Amino acid sequence: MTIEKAADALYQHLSGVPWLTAVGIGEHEGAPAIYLYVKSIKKADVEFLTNGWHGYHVEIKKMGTPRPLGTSVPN
Amino acid sequence: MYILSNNHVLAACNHTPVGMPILAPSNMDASPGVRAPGEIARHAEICELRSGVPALVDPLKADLALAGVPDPDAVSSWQGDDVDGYDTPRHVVTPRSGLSVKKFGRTTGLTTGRVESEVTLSPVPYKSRFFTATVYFKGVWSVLGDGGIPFALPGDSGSLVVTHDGRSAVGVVFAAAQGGYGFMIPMDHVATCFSGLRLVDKHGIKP
Repeated sequence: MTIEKAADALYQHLSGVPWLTAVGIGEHEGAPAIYLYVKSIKKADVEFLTNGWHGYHVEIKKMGTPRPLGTSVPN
Repeated sequence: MYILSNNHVLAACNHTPVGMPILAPSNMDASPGVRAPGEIARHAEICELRSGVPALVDPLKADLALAGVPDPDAVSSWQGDDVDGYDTPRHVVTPRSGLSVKKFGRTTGLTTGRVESEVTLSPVPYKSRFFTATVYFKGVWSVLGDGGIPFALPGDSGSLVVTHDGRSAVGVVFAAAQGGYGFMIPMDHVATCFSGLRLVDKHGIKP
């Protein structure tokens, strides 16, 4: 399975969980890796990813909901 | 010649009429000691923002808009201020994990960071006067600010992300998230939008 399909499958697997922010693909320590972005490390139920996902390392990172950066306050 | 920024900046999320004047600085940033807001461009084109779940609506790869510049002498290719700024590079590089980058933004000024991952799917909630909806994005990249400093904050939309040495353009900032992350549209994709774009360098720079 390609890393792109593995990442898509992970997003589908987690679809609807409240702590999920986003899924990405990149490199970690020189190897292809899936990035799982979560709102809270404590609340994220990710034990099933301890040994990776479809053969890819999963790097779990805390990140809030991405928001567009419209101007909200004067300089 | 055009100026490039986000749809949600220049086009109020699909709702600015074509031909509307674009002012710089914005009225919000007017202050003593700063030149008065004046027209630099006219709104021209957008990459449409579309809302809907990925099963029904293809996720977007860009939040972009163009405004035509009637007087090229009124703009320059310089990014940022005289101290920390830099010229727009003409060369474009594809993002990759670990790439050191920088940007100069309206709110945070010069910040540095590292490209982390290509986001395969992420919902981004928009809230503007005429457009309040969740837009799903794919193929955009996360950038983590160095030293715990956020890479971008509200007001930094449209900032040009370049390699740390300033020689190559990497992307255009459009979003950010708690945790120090900025999100950018990769410049190699931006260059394919609007029937093709080419960056302008060495334009209107003060000696």
